[in-house]
Amino acid sequence: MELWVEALLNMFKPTTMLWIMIGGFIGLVFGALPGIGTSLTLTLLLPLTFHLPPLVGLPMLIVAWESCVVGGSISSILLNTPGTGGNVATCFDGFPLAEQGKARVALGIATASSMIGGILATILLYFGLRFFSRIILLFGPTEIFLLAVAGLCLLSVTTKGAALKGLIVAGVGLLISSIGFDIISGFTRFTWGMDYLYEGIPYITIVIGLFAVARMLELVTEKEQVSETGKLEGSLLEGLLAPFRYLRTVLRSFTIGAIIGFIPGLGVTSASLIAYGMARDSAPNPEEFGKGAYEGVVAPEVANNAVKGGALIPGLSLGIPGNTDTAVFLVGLMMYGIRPGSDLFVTNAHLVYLLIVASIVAHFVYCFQISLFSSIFAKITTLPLGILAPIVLLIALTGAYTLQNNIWDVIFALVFGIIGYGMIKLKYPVVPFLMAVILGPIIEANYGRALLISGGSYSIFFSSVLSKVLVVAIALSLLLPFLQSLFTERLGRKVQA
Amino acid sequence: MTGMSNGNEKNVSGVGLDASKQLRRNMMYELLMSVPMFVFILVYFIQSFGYPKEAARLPRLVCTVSFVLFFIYFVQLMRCPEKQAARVSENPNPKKFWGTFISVWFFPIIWALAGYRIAVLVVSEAMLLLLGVKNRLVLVIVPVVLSLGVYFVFTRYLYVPL
Repeated sequence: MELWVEALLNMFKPTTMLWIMIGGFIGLVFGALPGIGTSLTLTLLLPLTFHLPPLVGLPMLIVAWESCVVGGSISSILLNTPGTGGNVATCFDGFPLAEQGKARVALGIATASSMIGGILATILLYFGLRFFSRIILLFGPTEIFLLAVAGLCLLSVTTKGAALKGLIVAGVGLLISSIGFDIISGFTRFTWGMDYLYEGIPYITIVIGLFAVARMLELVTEKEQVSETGKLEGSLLEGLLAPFRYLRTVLRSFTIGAIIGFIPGLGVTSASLIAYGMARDSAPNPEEFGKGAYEGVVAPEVANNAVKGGALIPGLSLGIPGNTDTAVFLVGLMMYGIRPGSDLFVTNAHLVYLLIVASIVAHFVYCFQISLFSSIFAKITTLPLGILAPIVLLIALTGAYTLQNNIWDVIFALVFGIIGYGMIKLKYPVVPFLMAVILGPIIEANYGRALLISGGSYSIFFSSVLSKVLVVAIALSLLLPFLQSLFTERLGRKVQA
Repeated sequence: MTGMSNGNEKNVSGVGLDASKQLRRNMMYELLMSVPMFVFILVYFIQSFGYPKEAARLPRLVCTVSFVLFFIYFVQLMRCPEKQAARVSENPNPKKFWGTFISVWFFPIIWALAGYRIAVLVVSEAMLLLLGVKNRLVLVIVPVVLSLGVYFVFTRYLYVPL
């Protein structure tokens, strides 16, 4: 109880409230801009939060994250262009509603659905974290090592059509994460005599390069303007009340989102699409879907918010992020020296409670801001890339510099930006690379500890039942693309027959 | 984001280019990324022999696994180039590419040459000109305000010496 009170007191301090309002606004604005996305928004905010105390910076990051997902629905509804990946399915019925002159109703539905989905996800996150913080105590270094490898393998092979490339970039990511001091021996590796590399390349520099710089390069070389124009009409209140009429859809979509979020690699887009599909299939009038059905907006918006709760459970308790957004958020945590894992509830329990409170408050913040500034957000969606790209790049590179006031951070952010751009253009998945960089230290430390315990014998990785199960899980995840192609071929033959 | 088609792709079946020429180009693109990665892993692997056993254990294991993966990848690339070669998204608006590219990149270049405040000033001025702003008042005020604003936030509030 004390921790709840402490979290609430911290949350409602004027400074914290001011920063979460700013974070919420930035999240909504960047979410509304198609092509920016949640990961990039969080990336741009990381250097700013770095200069704030964790009790202010982390709630701000959470509020920005929640707001960004809702912000994405603004452009989905007004322009038929999803702001973030999770808002793809919102276009199907959100845009037809806007065409009927009910854009504000659709925005209200999206806001209320996100609120319901997000609050349910936060409750799930709290109980999930409590449960997993006990389960994780059963894990020794061997099991943690195998679990991290299993998560990484699963994430790499689930990249559509690029499983092999996913595994290769994960390998490169692991090697990059090992640059600098070795945790066990204290020996420096692959530094080429550069002082900057002695402590390794900061995660945030890599994240800024891979997401901000690379994404901006991709956008300016492919599109001239983010979007056309959007108009807001109708009643927001009608939309805010609408999701309460579809509670079955809400619960179903929430369950889908939470489960998909929990499994690494499946992503928020698939969650919202599956939730939309299931809502349509079980609706009494499926023919109305695609023409402006309210349920068609409720389902994806509940699901994409539920994903966050599901993804944060393994992210915070095991240190294995379920998706890119969670990975970037974990970078934010690590920036403050907070390591996700079993002792999060022991060493930083006050922060966990604060994050939970912030997650709940976030929904009221964006609801308030949307009702006040929805017209401004609608106008922002028309911002040309000629203005947007240099601004984003300016913020990103300045952010990289402010971390340590070291120009090498900027240079490395640019280098990773070029690498990230090459990866995007050549269809190399970026996510396994980032995950490998984040999981690298966990994998290496536990691998070293396990071998120290066993005196160098590899039999330790098959010693317990749990480790055997995890080895089988790794093997199965590696076989997944082959099994998938085999299954698709057989299915194709059956269809032909 | 990755692995998705955007409708501007040209692969072996690309129109306007000879199929074998297009395939060769796609193969080149494919090697553009994989060869540097392979070289990085190879260099790391060779360097790891100079590290103590504890420090080299995992990198060496990762390098070995990566070599196996690269072997499979290169074999697949040679056996079935049509399927494996990169389908590079071509820029639908090549004429505007360099203009936009320079407008984005000259900020870090000026930063390196002239310092942060001047860079913000020059970039914002250039951006406004590129956007076709002709109002002189806007051309003077916006870059100055932006430059001072950024400088104030970073030096006074975040204590970053720019």
